[in-house]
Amino acid sequence: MLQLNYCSPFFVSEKEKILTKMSFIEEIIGPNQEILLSLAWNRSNFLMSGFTEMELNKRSDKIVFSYMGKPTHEMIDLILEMSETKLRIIESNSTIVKRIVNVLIEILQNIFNHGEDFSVVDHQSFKFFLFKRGDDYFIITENFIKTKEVNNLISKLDGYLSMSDEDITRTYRKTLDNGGFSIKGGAGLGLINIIRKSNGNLEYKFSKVDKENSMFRLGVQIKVE
Amino acid sequence: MKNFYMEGSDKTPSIKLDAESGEMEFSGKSIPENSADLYEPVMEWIDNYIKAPAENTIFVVKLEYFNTSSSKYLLEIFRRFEELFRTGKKVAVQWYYELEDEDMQESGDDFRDILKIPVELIVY
Repeated sequence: MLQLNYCSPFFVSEKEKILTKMSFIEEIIGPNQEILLSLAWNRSNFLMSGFTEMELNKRSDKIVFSYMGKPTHEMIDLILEMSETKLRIIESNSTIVKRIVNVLIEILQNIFNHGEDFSVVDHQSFKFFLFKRGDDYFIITENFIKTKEVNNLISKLDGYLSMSDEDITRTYRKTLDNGGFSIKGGAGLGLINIIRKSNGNLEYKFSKVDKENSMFRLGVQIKVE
Repeated sequence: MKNFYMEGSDKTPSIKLDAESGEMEFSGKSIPENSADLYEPVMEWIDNYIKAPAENTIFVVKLEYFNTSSSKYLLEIFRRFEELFRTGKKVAVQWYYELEDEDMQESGDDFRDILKIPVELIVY
């Protein structure tokens, strides 16, 4: 097992360098070896508190990928690309890999479409963790949203989380059917999809940062049966 | 009417729309941030196709991933074909999914449940 930590500012222009480095590492140790790659300013800066179970245990959980910084389009593409590459190495069940990537696409694009204007907030405006505990995978994200949108999001999330599997499928289909068009996705279809794919194994938390902004923390567990 | 071809990329599907044979196919990934840029030209082509369609229209979907906004466009495309179906033309959707890919199978089921045109689920 090889662990790499990049504890220095990470810029998109470094993408090529890191991808080259990763393929070099895989060439040396072979594709079936487990590689834990952590990309972050400083892992100890991640605030992992307030969740009941979806906490990163730095000693026993295996980080697949982590990032902290601004969520640019290029960065989100890179997170998806590298997470999928790593998952295909460490997880033999391709259905699970696809499910995780699917949920990642929804979560990351949702954050980009509905999150706060990232150009004005600092380098800690977005945190992402994908880690493995036992057989299961956990995705944790933190991003800013407008405080005035918090109540609406809470009522949507609680509403969907209280539904049975059959009801969530029915709601998904109804929303897809009647939701109409919206560039931002709208109507909560992305959220419903995340809840559906994770079988409702989702936790969230809001923390007020100031009068206008709040931190939205989302944890999703993908169980491997 | 000219056929519509578009090469796929890491985030966009390969698209083949053949006006004469009525054979159409989406394959690869459809996860663009802005689905409108990708799908509006496709919608425009389909709107024209519907005015002078082939006898049989077969729409093949072989997607590995698609995001929420793509699913809305997919539904909107299928809705256009429902209009054709109502006028008595033969229309069928063939939804391919990889063996054991329960999620893509489920997505095919979603469209089959919503749509009034035949949606065939095929393992490949």
